[in-house]
Order: sequence, then C-alpha cells, then structure tokens
Amino acid sequence: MTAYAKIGEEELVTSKRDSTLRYLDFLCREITGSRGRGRPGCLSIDGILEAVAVEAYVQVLNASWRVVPVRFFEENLELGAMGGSAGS
Amino acid sequence: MRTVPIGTARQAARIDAGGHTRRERENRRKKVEEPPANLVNEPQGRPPAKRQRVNNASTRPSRDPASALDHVELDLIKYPEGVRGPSTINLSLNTFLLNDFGKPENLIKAIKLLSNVSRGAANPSIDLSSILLALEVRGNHLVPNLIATSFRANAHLDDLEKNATANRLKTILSYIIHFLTLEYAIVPELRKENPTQTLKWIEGQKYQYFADMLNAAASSVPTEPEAERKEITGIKVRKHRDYGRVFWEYGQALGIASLLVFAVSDIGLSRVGSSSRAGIPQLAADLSTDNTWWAFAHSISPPTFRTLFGSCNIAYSVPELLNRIRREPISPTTTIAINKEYNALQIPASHRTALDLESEVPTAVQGRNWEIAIGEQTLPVKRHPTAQALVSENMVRRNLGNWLKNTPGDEIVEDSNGNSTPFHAFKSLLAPSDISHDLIDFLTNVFNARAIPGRIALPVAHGVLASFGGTLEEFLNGLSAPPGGVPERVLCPFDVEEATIGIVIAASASTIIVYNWVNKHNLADEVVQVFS
Repeated sequence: MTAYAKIGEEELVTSKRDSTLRYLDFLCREITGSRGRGRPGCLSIDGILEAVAVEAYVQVLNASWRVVPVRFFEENLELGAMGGSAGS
Repeated sequence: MRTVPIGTARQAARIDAGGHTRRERENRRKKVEEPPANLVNEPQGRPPAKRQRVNNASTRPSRDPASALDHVELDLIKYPEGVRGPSTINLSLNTFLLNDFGKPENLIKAIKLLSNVSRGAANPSIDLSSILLALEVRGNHLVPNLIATSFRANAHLDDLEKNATANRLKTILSYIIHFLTLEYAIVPELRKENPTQTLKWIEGQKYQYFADMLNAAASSVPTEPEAERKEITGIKVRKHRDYGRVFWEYGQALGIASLLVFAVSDIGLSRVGSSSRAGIPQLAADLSTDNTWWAFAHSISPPTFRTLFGSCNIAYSVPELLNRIRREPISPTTTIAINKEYNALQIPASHRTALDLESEVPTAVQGRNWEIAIGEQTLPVKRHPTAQALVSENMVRRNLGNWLKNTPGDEIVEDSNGNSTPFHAFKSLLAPSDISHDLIDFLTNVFNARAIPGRIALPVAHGVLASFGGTLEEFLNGLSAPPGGVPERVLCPFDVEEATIGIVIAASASTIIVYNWVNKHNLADEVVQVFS
C-alpha cells in the first residue's frame, strides 16, 4: 500500500537542490526518532543547508577538533539569555 | 598549491594515481594535524558579549542563496591535550567526576531519572513497615505471607535505584534552594532592614537570620508534632548554603543537566559539596571538549531545566530523551549504550515517533525561560560547559563557505566505517548545484550510525528500485540485515530529474509513504508505479 505524506505549504520547495536538503533533514529526524523536537519542515532551507554543512564538517574534523554546532547560536539568539557567553 | 587541509581527510590511492609525489602526500598528511588554514584565531580574553555578537551575526541567513554558507562561522575547539592543564585543585575528585561524566551508562541513568521525575514516577518516600510487618507471622500462613513480603521487598529493590537517585537529586536541589534563597532573597532583605551596616556585618549575620526565619516558619506549622521538630542552627544553614553554592556553580559551569549526573553518581554528595569551587573551571574546561558530555548537556539540559526549575509540565519519555542525544555528534560507545537501552525497552521502531510527538511543543516554547528570577534579580542558567578556560590556541574560527570553496575537490574523506568520499561531493553544498549523491550517501552512513534499532536508511544507489522486480518483502529481506534483524522502517531517497523524493517503507504495516516536497504530483506517480 502506498500513501502520500501530508506536506505543509511551508515545506514545499521548487528546486531539486532544495528537495534534497528537505530529504536530508527528514532523514536525520526520522532515523534518530527526533521528530519531537520540532515539526519536520519547520526549518528554513537555509537552516537545513547550514545544519547539513555543519554535520558534514563535524564528520570531517571529528578526530581532532570539536565543532560547536551553529544551531546552538541560533537558539541563543532566540533565547536571549544563556549566561552572556554564547558559544564560548 | 593546496593550502587548506581537512581534519581527517586522507590521500588515498586515487590521488596517488594523479601523480602526487610521496613528499607531497607527507606534507598533506602533516597539514591534517595542524589547525585548518583560513581560520581567524579568537583574540584571547575577548569579552563574552563581543563573542555573542560575532556569533549572532555569523549565523544570520544571507539573502543571497549563493552565499548562504559564507556567513556561517564555526568555533572549533581542539581537544583534549590542549585543555587538560596541570591544575591540582580537586585533582582526585575531578578525575572521578570526569570518569563519571564520560560514562554512557551514567548518562542513561540520568535520563531515566529525569524521565521519572518529569512523570512524577519517582517516589522517594519509603514505608518500611509495608515490607517488614509480615515477618512476625507464624503458623500456616508463614510461607504465603513471607512470599507476599518478599514480593514487596522485590518491588522495593526494583525501585531502589530510582528512589535513591531521586532522593539524591532532591538533596542537591534542597541545597541549591537554600543557597539561592539566602543569597538572593534573605541578604537583600537584611540589607534593607540594616542600611547602615557594612557588608561584613551582613555576611556575619545572614546565616543566623535565615535560621531564625526557618525556625519561625517551622513553629507556625501546626501539623508537625513539637517533639519531632528540630531547630536549625546558623552553622547548619551555612553548610547547606555552601553545598548549594558548589552544586549551583557546577550546574552553571558544566550545564544544568550535570545535576542529574551528580544524582546518579556513586560519589558522595558531601564530598562534592565540600570541595573547592576553584576546581570547577578546570573540570568545565575538560568537559567542554568531551563530545559525549557536550552532546548530552546540549540536548538534555533544556528538559532538565524545564523539569527542575521551569514549568515541569512535560512528561518526558526515556526514548524521547535518548532521541534528543542522537541528533548530536556522539561517539559509537554512546550510540551502543543508547541502542542497548532501546532494545531493553522493547518498543517497536515503528511506534517510537508517536512517543516523541506526545510531548511536542512549539520550538519557541521549548527554549524559553533560560533564567531564574528571584526577587529583582535574574540568574542565567547554562546549557553546557563553557570553554572560558581555553587559551586562544585551542579555539579557532572557521568560515564554512571558505572551507567548501578552498578545500581541493580531490581530497578523500574517509568516514568511521572506512567509506571514502571525494571532497567535491561536499562542494555541492554550494549553490546552485544539486546536492551530490556522494554527499547524500556520506550523510546516510553518518545517520545510520546513530539510528534507532530497526531503522535503516539506504544510499541513493538503492533509491531507484525499478529494476528490482521482486516483492516488497523480498526487497526488505534482501537488505543487509542490521544487528536487530530485518529493519522495521527503511528510508531511501527516490531520485528523479526534478526532485529528490523521500520514501519510508514500514515493514510491519506493509506501507510505503511518499514524501514529495516539490509541488508536482506527477513526480510521485513515478514512485507509485515502481512500488505498486
């Protein structure tokens, strides 16, 4: 049986590149079961691109450096109060 | 000349075939050990506020999609040899704590504790009489009553760890409450009442003043029998306050989720509470470069804060808390520990998403209230260890766009499973090119390493199933089975000319769900034809 998933207006994209980014975001959330952290598709394409790029970077550098994920800074920006030294 | 090495990139035979000399290869390998080029070192001792402004600016999305990644800068922290300093303050305690904070099993225990507390499941009140009364029974009812007693004893033993850790957590929070109340409520009041007194006088009086207030409050509670009431002394208040201050500062330095680990640790609370606060920054510096702890603190601190200091209106399930950690870069040992816990929970992979969604709340609400307001003051609450103790040599900043542009495309990146990916795959992140299949497969491997048992993602090569020709069951059985057997949920990309479509195969329900993010319905029809 084949079923179509409901796709919200805000999740729709127009290019193949962006649909692949949507897939990668969906893949990460689905396979780690972390959909509860936010509705799939709530990230902007730029946000997904950034998350994917950071993930790739983390994987490339993981042997000797730790990368502070960028999304942490974004959250700080939203929160406004994290002790005054975001990302430090 | 190539100037930008990448951390774990290796020159493989493919490059050798391109004519590089041995010296070139050795030079390249040497570069890998060095901090990446095109980095701007952070100035030492820069004020935190400036750092935040820079970071905030760095993550602002660009209006020009072609340069979106040019505006992304990352802080890199080198570990661990550059961080662990010669400090001998709390040396043995810090060694034990470092060991405790790095143990995946302790983090799992901490997650269970948080889940229990958030659900109100931990009951630290233990009624001893409910276990022991039946021991006095004699005669014919001896065995049945002892069996009943043993049953209750067994239930108690089952709950023992849960109750013990909950009691420790309550103790820690009680110390912290005493500290916060005294310093942020009582002391300001004492100052108001005695405006002419010196700070030293206030410091000398505050403990007894607080003790008197507590004793007065206790005497006004009529339900408590007078005989059992114990006077609290200023000395005891001081001890509680000191312990509370230490635990609060640990929570601030390591991330608020550290309070959970103190609760599940075998280290005595009095040992931690009476330790020197001067040793906390060193432990924070060490843990700030520990990937496992950082991932734990980053992902678990928000629900910890909400449960312990916030609205406490969400009952977190263990799977949901574990899944939060999966999103972070975590070590294989942590993944194994998480998966082991999943298997013990015996929750089908297909049901786990529903569990997560039970507590779904808007993102904006999740992140609010990262501070505690007491009187006229607000105390910020830290989410993860800070790296303030790091020297500038251990902190570098990198621009993500430059990394992609300047790294040679023929570099070979090797993942932890030994799969090689040419770097030009990563360059496809730069607009406007399509994201390469190699990159999708690279990330598929990464995410598979963190997958919930029973879930698997297939590389792009498997995405086009048209040539398979068999049944869905045959396809699933033909997959290389992960440790849990045939996967319950299979994800794969379906690559057509205009789009990438997501496919989820739910084996148990024999259902295929198609995710088509491009608003062209005819594309999904192709998928249906393949899977029908």
